[in-house]
Amino acid sequence: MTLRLRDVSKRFQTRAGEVKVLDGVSLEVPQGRMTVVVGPSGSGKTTLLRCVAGLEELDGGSVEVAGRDVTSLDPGERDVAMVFQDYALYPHLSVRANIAFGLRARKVARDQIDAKVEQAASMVGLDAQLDRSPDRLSGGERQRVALARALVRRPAAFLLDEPLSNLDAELRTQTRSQIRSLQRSLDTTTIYVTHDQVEAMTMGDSVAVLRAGRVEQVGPPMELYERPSTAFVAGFLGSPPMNLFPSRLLGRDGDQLCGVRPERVDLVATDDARLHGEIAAVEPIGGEVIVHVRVGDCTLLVRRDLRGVGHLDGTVGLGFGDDDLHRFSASSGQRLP
Amino acid sequence: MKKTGLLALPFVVGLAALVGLPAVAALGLAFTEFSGVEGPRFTGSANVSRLVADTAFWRSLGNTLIYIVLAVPLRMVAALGAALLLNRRSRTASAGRPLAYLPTVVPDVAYALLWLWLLNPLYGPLAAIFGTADLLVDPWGARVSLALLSVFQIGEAFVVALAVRRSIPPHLYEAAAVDGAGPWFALSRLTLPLMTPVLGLLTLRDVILSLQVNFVPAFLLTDGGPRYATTYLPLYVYRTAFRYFRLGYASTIALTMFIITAVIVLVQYRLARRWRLTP
Amino acid sequence: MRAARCLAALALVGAAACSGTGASPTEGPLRLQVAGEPEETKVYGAIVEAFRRSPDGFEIDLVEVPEKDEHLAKLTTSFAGGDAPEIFLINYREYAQFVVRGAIEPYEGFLETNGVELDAYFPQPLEAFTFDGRLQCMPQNISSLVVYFNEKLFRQAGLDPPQPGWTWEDLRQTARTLTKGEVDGLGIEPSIIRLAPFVWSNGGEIVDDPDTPSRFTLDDPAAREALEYIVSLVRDDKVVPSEQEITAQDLETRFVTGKLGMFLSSRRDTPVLREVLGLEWDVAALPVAEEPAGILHSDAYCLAAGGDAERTAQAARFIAFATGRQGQTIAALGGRTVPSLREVARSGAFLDPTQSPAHPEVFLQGIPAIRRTPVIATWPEIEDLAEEILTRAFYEEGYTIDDAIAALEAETQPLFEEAAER
Repeated sequence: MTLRLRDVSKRFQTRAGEVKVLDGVSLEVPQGRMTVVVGPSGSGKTTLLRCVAGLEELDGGSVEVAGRDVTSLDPGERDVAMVFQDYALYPHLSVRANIAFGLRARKVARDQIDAKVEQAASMVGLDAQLDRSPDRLSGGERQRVALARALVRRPAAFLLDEPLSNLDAELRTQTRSQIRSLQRSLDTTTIYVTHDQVEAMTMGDSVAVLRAGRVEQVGPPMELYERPSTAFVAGFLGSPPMNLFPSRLLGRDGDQLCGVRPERVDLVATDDARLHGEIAAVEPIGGEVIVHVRVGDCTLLVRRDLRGVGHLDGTVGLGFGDDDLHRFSASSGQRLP
Repeated sequence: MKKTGLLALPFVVGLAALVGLPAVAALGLAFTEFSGVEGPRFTGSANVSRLVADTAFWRSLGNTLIYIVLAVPLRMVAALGAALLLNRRSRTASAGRPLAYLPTVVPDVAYALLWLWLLNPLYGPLAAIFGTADLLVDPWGARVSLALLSVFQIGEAFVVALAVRRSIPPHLYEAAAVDGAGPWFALSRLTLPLMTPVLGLLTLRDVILSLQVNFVPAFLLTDGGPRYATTYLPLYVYRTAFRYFRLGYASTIALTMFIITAVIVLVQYRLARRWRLTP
Repeated sequence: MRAARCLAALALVGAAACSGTGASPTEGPLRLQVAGEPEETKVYGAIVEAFRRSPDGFEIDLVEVPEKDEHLAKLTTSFAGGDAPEIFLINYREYAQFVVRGAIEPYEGFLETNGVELDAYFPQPLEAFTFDGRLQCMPQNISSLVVYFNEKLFRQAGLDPPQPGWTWEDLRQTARTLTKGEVDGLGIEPSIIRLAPFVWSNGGEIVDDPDTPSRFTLDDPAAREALEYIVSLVRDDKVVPSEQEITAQDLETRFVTGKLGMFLSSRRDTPVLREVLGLEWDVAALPVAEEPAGILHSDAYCLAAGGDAERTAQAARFIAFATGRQGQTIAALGGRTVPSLREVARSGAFLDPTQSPAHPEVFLQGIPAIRRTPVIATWPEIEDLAEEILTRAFYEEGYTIDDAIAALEAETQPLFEEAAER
């Protein structure tokens, strides 16, 4: 039950004129896999999801769910389920009726509905809250109602729109793994939209980075991390993201951007160093520190284990291997071999 | 808290002076014989006995109830229907919204006179188009006519219904659409239940209003006829007071109307609470 | 008592002033309240103006109210609010309720000081406005019911104008001849005041006692016959506009637009008909059964009781002027009234040959046979009930004359009793 987007484009009319929100997006999510669509705000992630759900009409391209072209079908006919960012629970209905809504709309027999609803509720741990009203639930519980409402129908695909953004940090981590394991056990093809690159890296079988309505790169999270195909991807993923600096800092010619991940940079004696700089700031983050080093007119970040670092002051040398150095075209941003 | 109380003061004073005091006076008058010309004379429960035996009163009460039963559901369906149809963000809908409100802005007298022409049995356009020559001549025709013409003056209920419809988050409809709900299912399981509390209040308000608003059309269009079919309580009170100068007795009827209104409000409030319709 | 009254006034008119000593204010110009269409009321403006210009005249505010019902409602509320107009014009069928409630200052007390000679007036209106043995208000007119007819329609139908002493059967035949297509022969309202002269002409009575009535007597054979006659014009001859037609357009409008050959009314329609270009019309006497009979239509100027004595005296002076020769002449020229002052009624002001109707003397010739309805406080309500019942007798299928007579007696009984208690 593969989900396939081919050359999807979508334009919006605004006061300022026409805006291309999606510009030829192609994406394939294989059966049972989860693809996380990530990108900065305004990159078109949510629009992409709404296009798949059928809530927006396409201006071009096609959407295929489980081998069926659904481009011109109504949302209800596409066999997909969506979890909205604000959950969109029906406030006048109990948890049970919320979960059952889609089954009712599809005229599923009543006794089947009860069984399915209870099963779905127990999968998300809501058995005890079934007869409550949504406004009596906590944020996490409401989020689970939204999940149960999606999975009760056993759709061909899940579409999750920033489902964790309204939860506090602790709950977010917990729910993240819960969603992932639910998705795996149900073996349901899923698109998961987020602006949070940590979620992207931890949850997806693959990650698609969206930038201004175009897919910048798709692939397994580690591939994107290790071999970002553009400077944008390199600068978007990772925490903190990759250091990008002009190649002339290394004394090389050419119009290139060099990149190196902060955790791959060593603080070394100035003799062995490939770059020299002044320490501008030191940020301890738990067991690690992030050291801001000024090199010329750039600031590079270094992420180190706190224990390996002594007193930091004055001029330092920065060292890294050739394998850790990424090079991109300064004009196109494309990765150079 | 203190400040808000102060802000309400002008209104409260006005209410007390212009509504409260006359109401109390009318309450007192209900137990007198009073022509307006000479002073009131206390007659105890004589007016009440008269009321019980007064067939014209019971007939007017019956007419009023018939009016409520005919007009309120029609008006509510019309207000709701207009709100749902004109809720969309389209050119037609934005042109339609003021149109739906427009008849409400027309002064009652002008509106009644307009209908007097529309419903003219021989020379009116409705008679010409539908052959409804008997509308104002037949008792039930007149009752239905007055109920029907009130259906177009639903501006306030329409605006409230529209506002409530607009307050429903669009996400809910998107969720329902993805859930596979068709328009009818969304209307009956989503829109209507979410609007029900306010629709309940609107209905309550309309019932109370319907005890009163029919005065102008009944006065100008049908003069309470034919065969007293449209002599509603307000018109009966008016005639009793200002045509036959029984102001004391008219106060008794008005007081009865007040009690009926209170009972209706109470019953509806109870029902609303039982159905958990009050917000 | 006084506080209660003020409270009541408050209830009625919102916030009327509870100051002053009487029903009327003590300062400002005197007011005269009249009812009627603009054509009818403009003559009072002329009288008020003439009074102002007269040697010892002064300003009077004319308060015009378009409809009779509103006129009465306004009077009641203004009495209750202590703001009654000092002078008001009212029909004899409606003034009794004001008299029994002490709202009228009898005009009798002001006759002498103003030099009013009652002998100069027709006796019938004076009698109608006499209550408890005293003249209450000063009548300004004496109209009777006549047949207005459309001369053109008569000519087209080959009919001669109705002659004095014509019979019920003549009326029936004339109406039948006129009834053709959109035109109906005769307009007659289903009311007691239209029915009464027919009953009287047939030798019957409408009530058991004209002064202290206790019941309708339409079950009496002569009265019943008159009712049967009129109902048969509607139901059998179908010469009277249907209920539909009347709802669509009233009798006056139907007459003016040539859809009605004849209709029964008092003098009051004359000023309106005069304004209609191209309408050829005249008046004729009512048809006669046993003996000629007419019904009195008369309005009088009344003084509000309880006002400041000096102002009331001033108001009485205006009334003397309005019902005196000059006032009556202006009124007669206005066309609305048949003057109650005999001299003016017989003068050129009323019998003006250049104005329609061509035979104004018809109004005067009917005067000797003129009678009135009872003067009792509940009469307006009795008339309303009767109109509803007679409407059914005219138009409702299956509603018989016996039903009507029985309903009339039963429904009006409490009102006769109430009037008798006073």
